[in-house]
This record gives sequence, C-alpha cells and structure tokens, in this order.
Amino acid sequence: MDQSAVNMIGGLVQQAALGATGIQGEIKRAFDESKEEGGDGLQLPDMVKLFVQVIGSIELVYLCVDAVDEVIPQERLKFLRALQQIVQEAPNVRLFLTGRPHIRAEFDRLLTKGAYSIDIVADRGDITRYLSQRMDDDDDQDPGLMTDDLRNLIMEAMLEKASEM
Amino acid sequence: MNTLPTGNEGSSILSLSQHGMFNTRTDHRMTNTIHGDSNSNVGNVSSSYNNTINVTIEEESLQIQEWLSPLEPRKRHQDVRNRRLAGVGEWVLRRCEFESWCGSQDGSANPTLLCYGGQGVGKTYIRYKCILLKHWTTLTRNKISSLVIDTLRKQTRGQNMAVIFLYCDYQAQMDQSWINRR
Repeated sequence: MDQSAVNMIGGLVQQAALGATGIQGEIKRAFDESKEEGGDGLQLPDMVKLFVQVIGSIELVYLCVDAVDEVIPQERLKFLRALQQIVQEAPNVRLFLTGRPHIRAEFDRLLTKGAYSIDIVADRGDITRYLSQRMDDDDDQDPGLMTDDLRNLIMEAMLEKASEM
Repeated sequence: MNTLPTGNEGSSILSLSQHGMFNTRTDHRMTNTIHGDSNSNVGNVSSSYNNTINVTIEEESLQIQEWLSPLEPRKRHQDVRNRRLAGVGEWVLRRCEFESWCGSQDGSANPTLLCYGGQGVGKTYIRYKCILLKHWTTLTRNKISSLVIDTLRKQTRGQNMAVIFLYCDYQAQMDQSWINRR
C-alpha cells in the first residue's frame, strides 16, 4: 500500500468515479491517453486536476482525511498542498481532517487557518464504553473471574486517571 | 439525480454501463457471445449478453481503479467501523463547530474542519497513564473519522452530494516498504 500523495489523491478520484453520473468520460479519457503513452499512472498535478473535474457536477462533496500526520514525511507537504489546491479550486468541497496537534502549524500554514477546529479530548462517556467492552471481553475468556466489585474498582481508577490527563 | 453509492460496487458497475463508458471493448465481446449462443433461445442470449457486458465492464472498471490508485479506502473504512463501539465519539457530532461546518452550503463559512487530538506522551507520564492514553488514542482517533463519514453518508443519501474519504496509516506504509525491500 504505497501512500504517496498521488496514490492518495488517486484514491479520491477512484471513489468519485464509482457511481457518479456524467463524469466517467474524463477518467476514461485520461486512462486511454495514459495507455497510449505506455500505461504509466498520472502525476500529482494531473491527478488533482482530474479530481476537481470529476467532482465538478456534484453539489457538495465532503472530503474526509483521517490522520494526516501519518502521511510519510516526504509526501505530507505534497499531499497538504494538493488538498489546499482542491479546496481553492472546488468551492463545493468541505474538508474534514484529523491529526495530532504537533503538525498543527503545518496545517495552519497551508490549509486550516481560520478553519473550524475541535480538540478531541478523552471523553468520559467514550472511556466508560471502551473499558466496559474490554472487561466484557476479558470476562468472556475467563467467565466468573471478574466480579462486579473488581469491575467497579477498575472503572473508577481508570476514569480518575483519565481525568488527570 | 446524481448520487454516489455507499460502497455498493454493483450499482457502480450498472452506472458505468448506463453511461456507455466502455463501448469499444463491450462491442467486441457482445459479438462473440451472441454467436456462441446462437442455438439457444432468445431469453438465454439476452441474459448471457447482459452478463457479458457486466463482466467486461467490471474488468475495465477494475483496471481503471487500479490505475488510479492501489489504496483501498473503502475496505479500511469497513474495518474501522466494525471495531467502533456504539456511541463512541458522538459528542463530536453535537459540537457547534461540526454543525456549522457541516451545515454551511452557501460558501460563506470556512470549508475546513480540523479535529486534532492524541497528545504526545511526555516523559513525566508514568506507565499506566501511557497505557491508558494509548488505549484512548486507539479508541478515538480513526473511530471518529469513521463515525463522521457514516453520519455524512446518511445525511447526503438521495442528494447530489458525495462523501469521499481516506485513512492515512503510517504503520501500514512502513510495513509495505519493509516488504518491498526484502
């Protein structure tokens, strides 16, 4: 799974190509032209251009990218610039990104200045659900070993520690 | 109506066939099929004809998909959503930032929403905190993305809107590089 910037934007084109109407001609044309020239894949600027063309007839496109900080460093800047270009050229795009705070400055410089932002905090309800599930799983392995008292003790201790994070 | 399907490749193939994208190759195969079935009844010819068109279009559709990208974001999304616990991350959907971002359609609002989290673990953290933090990170990070994707898909169903997504995964990338080097 080569997560280069061009493959990632290609992954977006691929999804837009599946099922939308009136757009396949552009992709097919690009594919045929590439075959005539030896069958190589598109380069990043062409892939970005193709994506913008392909989504042109769609009223609103929600584009969601999880864990942008996990893009390999040598491709990340290229990828962020590609997203920046998409947002600038396609007013029908709404971009949803998740990432760790340490690349916030990089985000802001290229993409997210003035953007809406939400800090993903350790939500008490989420932690409770998660711990319950984990303890249920443990209980399935050794039924009866996890008493209600032990369960409550673990839950209280973990939630207390979580609140200190 | 111009709508993207939600992971249903079958309807995608149908859609491609409806729009006559792959005429050249299908014409060739159609001729062969009709000749091959010439002794059968009309219903069988028709059925075989349609199946062949679908198979051929599917082949070319797959070729084009592979040419565009080797990544399989739909598969990854399925995997993440299968591991998502009910209710986890739903507070994000109720935040006013999410509602403003999601609901703005006139271009007046900022088009981008950034969710950031998973603070780095400092040296002062003692071991159990590290473990809890690691679990919490596992719990929330891509689950929230998958929840947002599913919510938007539900909201946009039947409209001329699309939800397109990617999951970036450093570990998968490194594993692949290691395999390629061998």
